[in-house]
Amino acid sequence: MRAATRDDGPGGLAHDSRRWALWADRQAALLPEEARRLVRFLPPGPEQARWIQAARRPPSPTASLVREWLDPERRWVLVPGVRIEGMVVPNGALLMYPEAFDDDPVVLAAVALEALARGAGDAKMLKRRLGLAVAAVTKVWGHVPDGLQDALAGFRGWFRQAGAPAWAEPLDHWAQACGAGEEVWPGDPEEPELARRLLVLGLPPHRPPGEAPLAPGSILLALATLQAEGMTGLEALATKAIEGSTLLARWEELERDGRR
Amino acid sequence: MVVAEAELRRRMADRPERRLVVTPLLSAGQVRGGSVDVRLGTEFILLRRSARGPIDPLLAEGGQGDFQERVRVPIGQRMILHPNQLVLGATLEFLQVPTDLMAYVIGRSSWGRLGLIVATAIMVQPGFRGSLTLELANLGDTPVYLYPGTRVAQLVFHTLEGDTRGYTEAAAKYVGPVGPEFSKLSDDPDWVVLSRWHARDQEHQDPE
Repeated sequence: MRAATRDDGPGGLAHDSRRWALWADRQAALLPEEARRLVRFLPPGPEQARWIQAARRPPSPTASLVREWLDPERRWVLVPGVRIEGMVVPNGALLMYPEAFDDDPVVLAAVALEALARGAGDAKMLKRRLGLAVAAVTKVWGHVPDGLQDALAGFRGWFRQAGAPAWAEPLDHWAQACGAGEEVWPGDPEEPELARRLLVLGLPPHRPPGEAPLAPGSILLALATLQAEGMTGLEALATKAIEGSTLLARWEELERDGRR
Repeated sequence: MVVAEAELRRRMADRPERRLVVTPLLSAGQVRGGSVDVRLGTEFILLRRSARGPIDPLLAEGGQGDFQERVRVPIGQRMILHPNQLVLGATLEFLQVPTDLMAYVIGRSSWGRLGLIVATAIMVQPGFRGSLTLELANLGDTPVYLYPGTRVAQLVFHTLEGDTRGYTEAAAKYVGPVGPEFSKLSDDPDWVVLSRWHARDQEHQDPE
């Protein structure tokens, strides 16, 4: 067992909330603003300490790019009426607010799949994460594609452990919130499969002949399915493609601005 | 034979295993004539100027040396390269070179006239896959700003004749990097012999 460190909390009695609060204030002062907002949602105690620890870890390259890809000024939201206070991934903390994520389902998918790809957590967070991921996929494609059902099946056991009665629940979760079956995927529905094939070949997912990277949502989806199959080492290629996609979008925007 | 633009574009649409890949291409004008312009990437390895002993290539494991620091400079920002300073950068683009092609990296003369030398190791092997590490040195007397995203070099592709064994099949030392890589001289098979030679000489000089 790992020895306790001062990062685990103030020590002493767990119910000494004043001591926890003082410790949390000191620790949270070291965090970026978005992470500070996150930990303020949580009451002082070991749960808050865990979140602070997670938020203090530097984000992975992929998580950083997803955050860059999303507008940093936008408050991250899920779906109307469903509040997700926050979602922890092993290398970073993501914030979500119940406002208007439904205007950009690809963003939702990217965030959800990023979290899904990164796996474990406690049962409560796992349930939220899985629900979010399946809901996002359903929102993007209108259904869970056959190929992805196999990949997601690996998570079904976790979902049951987390106390969910049936596989249908995460799908219902979306249906209740936004209405399932709506086709909103803005790109080629075959893109995730293409991304997957290219990753397996050791290439950043791209579209010939202009060599434009594929959409980040497709890449993250492919990455999530491959990691679920135990393939590792693909994150760098996915990150390269997501970086390229972000740069290309910005480049084209500035070119258009220059012509005006 | 130099591969012309039409053939380059045809190769870029080939099936993935045989495709000439240069991604991301931020503008279509990067492929022109018989060459492909490549841009400066966002990751760099800085070599520290400190009061340390000499670098021993025999011991320099990629990414492990205490004389180097990896930094990221996003597009839109810049970094300064001082006179006589060397940094390792990488192409923004990830490449896949088909096994019947190779390429030469040629620094742009516009940068050369400012004192910047790009890429001393200029041959890209058949079958190479990854971002190219660029050795960037300022040989001028004045500091120069480096802007990630600028076109720093061009690749001129050539066809190969005869039986070619791809780089990936031969020695997979540099396969698949997405950023700059430090020297891996110590991985060369020659170093096994040379290090034994060196050790024996040391023993003779210092028998205790």
